[in-house]
Amino acid sequence: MEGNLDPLLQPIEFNKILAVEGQDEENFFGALFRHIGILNIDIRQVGGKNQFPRKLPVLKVSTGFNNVTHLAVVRDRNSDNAFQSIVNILKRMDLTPPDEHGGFSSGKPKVGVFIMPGETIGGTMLEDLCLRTVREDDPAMKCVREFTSCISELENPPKNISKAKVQTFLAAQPEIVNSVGLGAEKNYWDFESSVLDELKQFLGNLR
Amino acid sequence: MFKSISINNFRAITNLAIDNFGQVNLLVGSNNCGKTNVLEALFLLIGATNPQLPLTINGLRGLSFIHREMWPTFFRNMDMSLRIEITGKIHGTDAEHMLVVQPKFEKQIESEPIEVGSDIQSLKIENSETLQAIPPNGLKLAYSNSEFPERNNVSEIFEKDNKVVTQGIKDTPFQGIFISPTQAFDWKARFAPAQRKKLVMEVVSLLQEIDPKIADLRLNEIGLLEADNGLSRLLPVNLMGGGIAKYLTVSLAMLEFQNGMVFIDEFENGLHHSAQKILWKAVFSWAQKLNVQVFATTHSLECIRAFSNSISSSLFEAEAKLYRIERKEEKFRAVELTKEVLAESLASKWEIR
Repeated sequence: MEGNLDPLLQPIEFNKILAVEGQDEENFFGALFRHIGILNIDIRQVGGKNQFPRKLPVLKVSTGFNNVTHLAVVRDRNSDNAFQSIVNILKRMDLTPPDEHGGFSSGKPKVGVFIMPGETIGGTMLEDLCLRTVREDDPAMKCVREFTSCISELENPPKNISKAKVQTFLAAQPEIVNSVGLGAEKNYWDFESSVLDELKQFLGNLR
Repeated sequence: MFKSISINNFRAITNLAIDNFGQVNLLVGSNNCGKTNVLEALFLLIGATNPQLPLTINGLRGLSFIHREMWPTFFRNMDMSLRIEITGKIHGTDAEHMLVVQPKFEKQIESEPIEVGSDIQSLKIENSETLQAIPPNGLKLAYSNSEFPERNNVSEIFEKDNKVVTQGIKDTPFQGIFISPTQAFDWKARFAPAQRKKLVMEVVSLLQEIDPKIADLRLNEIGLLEADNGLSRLLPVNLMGGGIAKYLTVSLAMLEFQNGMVFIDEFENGLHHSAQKILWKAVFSWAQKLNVQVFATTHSLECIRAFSNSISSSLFEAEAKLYRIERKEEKFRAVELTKEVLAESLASKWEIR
């Protein structure tokens, strides 16, 4: 950060930006970028999937955006049409959206959209992807399976089973952390898993 | 009120277009990006063929001398072969107001006297060879309004016998005032209009935000502006600190130039951060009430926050915008932030200066 800038305001430091939902995603992608050797990416949290319509336009007018060559947007699938939702926002911002999921447009900046956990993985969110990177014979997965079986018998089971599974897996680690992002920083997810190939291919555009 | 402006070859600016001006506009950007140049360009345009204005804006820069070396200072890279063009559009009309500034050469005075009403588009620029051979001794200002193409006016300002001479039509289509951080404001001249309009107490109530004891303002017999702040005698406002001076300057400017424009370079200058929000609220209030369009510059995040926070708290209904002027080598552009986007940017803590 340059000395004359207020430390309370975050300038765009690099010409490649990844916009994500929140702190958990920032931690996860920070760890993944380091693992695959992609440096100098400016990761920006928008504060939740519902904030993309408000925060992406703000990002576009931030100091330094004029130098941005690549903008990647990653959000969870959840239940709505997530890809089209981001495409619509990008169009309203006069940015060129990609033609398809996982690709980048040829505009300036080039814009790519990836919806978690990807098209080849089942589930609706980052947690699904992280858990799929872990081998089934990992000892902690036995705990996850048994816990899942247990909660399935509850009258009021957790609404988000993916998150419950992830929390169980993380709770079974020698040093417990409470989020997938922190789990990524602890190397609890297998970044060499082929499950991540689709995501890595997308992120490779930022290299 | 200006809707847009296009500036070519003026001071540092090669070309820059800004559109969708609000009623109150705050310009930010890094050093030497051209913020003050934009204010100066707007100020020149509202004065159109008032030949004194180029000297005025140079005076605000501390370039008060009259010398041949002064004339190139208005032109990009001091290159007088590039004519200055400043074009503005007004909200609600399609009319283009255009000011063209070119050098004036002594030789031309003898051979080509300017004719009032001559077509400004046909004013030809001398080639660089001629420029080198004959140093300019002044400026020609040509103003046109596309709604009235027959009324192109031209004026000149030049040196003659070590004196500055002006001639031609002095057309000033708009009213406005430039507040500079480097030059003392003429309170004496500006106080009388507020007095005539019975608006002195509005100024007083603003000053009370800094010093609640101030009860009145008046000009004394030698033209000194004095405040009654409860002492046994009146106190010259010059002795009352930078905040009072700034409040006084901005308020008198706003109150005098009803239906006009006020340009404030370095809004935060002289103000504690807590005082900035109060002044912005007053500016928004008067801008709305008196139909004044305001253009200001700042480097200060506190000033930007005060600007943003004051929009809602002052019940300002018109549009307020922040523009960041960006310069990348010789390319200039303006990034527009509406008040909503500005508030969201500040909440996000993402850099917008």
